[in-house]
Amino acid sequence: MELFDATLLDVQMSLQDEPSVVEANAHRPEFSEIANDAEVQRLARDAAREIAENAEGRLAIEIVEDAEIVADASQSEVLRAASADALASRSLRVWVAARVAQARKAIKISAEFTKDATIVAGGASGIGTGSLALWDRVYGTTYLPELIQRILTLLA
Amino acid sequence: MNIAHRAAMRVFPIAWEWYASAAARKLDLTALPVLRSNLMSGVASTCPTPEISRAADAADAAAFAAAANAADAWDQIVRDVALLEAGHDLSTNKLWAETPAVGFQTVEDPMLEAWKRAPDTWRFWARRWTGATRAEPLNWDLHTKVALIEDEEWAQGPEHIARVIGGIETEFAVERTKLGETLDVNPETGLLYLSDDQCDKATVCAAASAKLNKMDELLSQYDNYVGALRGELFLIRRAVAHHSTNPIILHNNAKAARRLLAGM
Repeated sequence: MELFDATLLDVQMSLQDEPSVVEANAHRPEFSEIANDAEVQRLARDAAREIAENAEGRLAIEIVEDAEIVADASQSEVLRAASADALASRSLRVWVAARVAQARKAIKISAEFTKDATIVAGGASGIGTGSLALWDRVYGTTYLPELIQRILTLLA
Repeated sequence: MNIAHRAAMRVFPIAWEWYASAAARKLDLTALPVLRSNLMSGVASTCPTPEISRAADAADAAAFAAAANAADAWDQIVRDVALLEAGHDLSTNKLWAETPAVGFQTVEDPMLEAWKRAPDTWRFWARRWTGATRAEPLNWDLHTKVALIEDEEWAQGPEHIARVIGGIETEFAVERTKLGETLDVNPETGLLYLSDDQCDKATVCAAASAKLNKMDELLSQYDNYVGALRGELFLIRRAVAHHSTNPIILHNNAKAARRLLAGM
């Protein structure tokens, strides 16, 4: 176990000064509160399924795995917090991208707005490039908007 | 300024009562300017900048005078002074030391009800109020971003400001949940997928991933370890199998696995 711990510490230390790691973790909250929130636990599985139905690859797989872990009170709090982190990050980006796509549909968008929207979406380069049907489906989901509202509340 | 801010918070429901009256509605007035002033004085007292302080000065003077007129509120001000002198952070102390006097409760309840009836408009202010009364303030960086919304936006009323604040809250949350991934759409399938951003120093990520992979191979030889370390192995296997070029996930999963191992 000491070797395992030492390896994990070595990996952690070797990456902690990477600029992207420093930037991403500078204001990263503790996700235990999200993982322990009853509303998040209630909504996680259904919201994750809604995303998975419109996703492929590891996004589709991991979001369901994370939701299962968050909703499973028998899992350790540390693991549920790590899954809540990934669940929140990906759900937010999917939702923001869908909202921006809806806005694009509603009004004529300038190039500047598109650039700003991409920044706001925090790494969602596919905004507006997918079919409108995809974004309509995501925007019309039932549980995802509720989950996002709860996550926003808890992160504020 | 901190004391004045809290004094103004305590008597805000009284102001709300008037703004909800027929007289105020007739004049087309809303409580938003008072909420804004109070927000600014709160930010100025917690993380002062010249920009915020200038905007908050006038609001504070008026709020302090109003609050000082109420004897119950005055007791709370005396308490706040004592807390400050003892070096306490007032934002982590409840707005009222005990239950507010009946006079304040009777105006607070209708205010909270009104906010509940129009949650899209007042959600931020309701959360801010609840946070203050419970000594669980909203994040001050978020407060600051809201306080710095331009005058022209505030002039468009509570519903408009609620939408602007909603955008700020979303941006704030997105900034704090970066995982070094980009969301995209596969044009062939029309489905969403994620791709990982790359390590600035590819060799560092490759070495980190190789170390985790080697540890997984070693531990996987022993059934008892695989069972006991299920959570730890889940985290490192995910990092190695799907995110071997992503420094944030490699780092954060290793950190979480280590905390899990320590039984935290």
